Amino acid sequence: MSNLSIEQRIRQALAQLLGDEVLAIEKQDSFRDFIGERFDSLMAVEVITAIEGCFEIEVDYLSDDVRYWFETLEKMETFVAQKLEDQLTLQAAE
Amino acid sequence: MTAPRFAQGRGLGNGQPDLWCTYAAVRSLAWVERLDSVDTASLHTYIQSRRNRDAGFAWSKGMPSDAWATFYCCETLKDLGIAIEQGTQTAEWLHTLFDGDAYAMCPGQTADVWATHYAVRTLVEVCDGRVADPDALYAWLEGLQCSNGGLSWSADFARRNLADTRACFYGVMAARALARQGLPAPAWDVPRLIGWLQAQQMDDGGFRFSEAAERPCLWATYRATASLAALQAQPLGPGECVAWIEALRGPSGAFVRWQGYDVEDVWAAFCAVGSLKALGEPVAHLADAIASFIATLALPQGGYTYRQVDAAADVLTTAAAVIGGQMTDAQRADALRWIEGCQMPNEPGIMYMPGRGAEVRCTNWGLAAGAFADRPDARKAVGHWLASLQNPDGGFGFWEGRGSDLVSTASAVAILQQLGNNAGVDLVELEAFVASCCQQGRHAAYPRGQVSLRASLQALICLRHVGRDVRAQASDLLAAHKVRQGGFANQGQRIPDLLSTYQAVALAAALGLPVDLAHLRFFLDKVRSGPGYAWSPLYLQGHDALSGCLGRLLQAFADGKCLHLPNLQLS
Repeated sequence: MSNLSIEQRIRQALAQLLGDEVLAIEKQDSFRDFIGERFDSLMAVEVITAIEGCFEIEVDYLSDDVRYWFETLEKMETFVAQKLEDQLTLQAAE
Repeated sequence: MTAPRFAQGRGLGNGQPDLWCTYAAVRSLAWVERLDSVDTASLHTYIQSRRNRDAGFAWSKGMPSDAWATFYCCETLKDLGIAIEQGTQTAEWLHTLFDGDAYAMCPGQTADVWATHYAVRTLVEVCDGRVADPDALYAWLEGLQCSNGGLSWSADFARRNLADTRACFYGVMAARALARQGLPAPAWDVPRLIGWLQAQQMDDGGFRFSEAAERPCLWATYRATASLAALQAQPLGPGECVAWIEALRGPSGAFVRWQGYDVEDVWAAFCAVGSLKALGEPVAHLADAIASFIATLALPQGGYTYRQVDAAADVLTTAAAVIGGQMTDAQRADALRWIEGCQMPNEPGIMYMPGRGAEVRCTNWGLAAGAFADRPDARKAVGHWLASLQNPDGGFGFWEGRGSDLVSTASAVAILQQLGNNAGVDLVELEAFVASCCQQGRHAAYPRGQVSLRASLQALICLRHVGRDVRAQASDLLAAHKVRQGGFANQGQRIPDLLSTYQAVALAAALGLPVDLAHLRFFLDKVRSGPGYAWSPLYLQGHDALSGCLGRLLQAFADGKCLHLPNLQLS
């Protein structure tokens, strides 16, 4: 397990996809604005896939309301934290 | 028979730039040395938005890369003096198009001369690359020559002795690129090739596509004159050719496609200036008019369309508005009249935009909208045209001479169903092409492509048409791509999209298979976007007339207001 915070790990994962500018983006900034012309459904899939791979979680493209949760770094951080917590709860129950 | 005029009635446009138009506009401006008039930054942004992560370029944002789009994007950047980013990667992608003989439009497809021209020129002239297997490529190129001397789309078409000035241009220009790589000329009988090209010049000075064409047009004239110039030859009547071209100047000083046509467009300007350059004529006197005309075709987001922006309609957008039921009776009648006018002089199929070649997919949408419904002669001609397009492998490509794919082949089947007869199409051969795309029970768009839901659905549409019982296969396929929460995914069962969902539900309905309406409604709620529907639930801004049409049809189906969904193919 990495010692980096969730926020730092998200920044690292997305920097590989979108460039090092992600490392400096404000937590409340919209990724859609940041990505600009390159933002479309394929880019959204790539962002989600990068986060899934980084944290070994699975995102449901319809029920997880990805348009909301993947809008800003802050929301992504909250979403990932909830997913990781859900995972721990499920593992404890097994 | 009089020459077709510009489409009458009223069509609708999508307000978007078009890649081919953009290439033609920029190249024309380069020829008349007026590139200083373009907005290079916005053009660069537009072209870059077509670049995929595989380093190829796509016709539309989000589509897979193909040789055609990659050539037009790279050449436009080159004309603008912008270096291709990571050209080595683009060259690597181009190598994936090689099918063992020559180059295909997409990886896994069968080669044709259009794609070979685009791929070889991009590889050699833009990426400074080298073709991987010259021996095989030369054998293939040499096989293009027909017994009449001209070049055809492929060796199989050459054996049918079907030469075309466009095929000649693509073959000759591919050979010119190879010469720049230091390779010899293909062993064609050049005097007979020149002779065939010269024989396509008609009495009035213009060129036709082939012996099958009744009248000349600027498109054929450019392809013929440029081919002759590359072969160090000229038309037999160069003066007549120049006079014929000059007579096609329109009110603004730009050009129309053929005599009797009444709208200037970007392709006519491109072909006229290109022809005059090939004939060694000066073009400086055209520069002001061409630059002024092309400026009226520019879109604010970068790129160009084919005529003045507010009038640049297209068949898919217009047909989508008709099929989606968004028009009054009068608007619908006007729209159908416009669609029916989208024909070349020699091709009864329907074009995407007036003045370019007829396309199978656009003909499918036009007929579905109701075009030619009360014109049996026109419907019969569409059938004959379609049958003439069937490739030797049994499939259909997007337009004449293009390699086969399942989108076009399923579109062809949809046309046959719309016409109510098989129009001389060889269904045994068609089934053989579908079989060649099969991989372990699923289908890819091409024989060596990647399997997907939509390609598999298209295969089942074809197999059903030839009389196969596909219900069990369809049930398995739909179950394998049904996304748990709603909709259908083209790959696996995780990311649903509107087009896959439409095609899945349409086939299920056609076969009488159960459709989970609650599942469909949940998906539609996720893609509803303002007055329309988005292609993906992940990007609600991504909607247009076509997605709106498919969404509304699905909603009507979910609401029980329609029991049958039209057989519409897109990608």
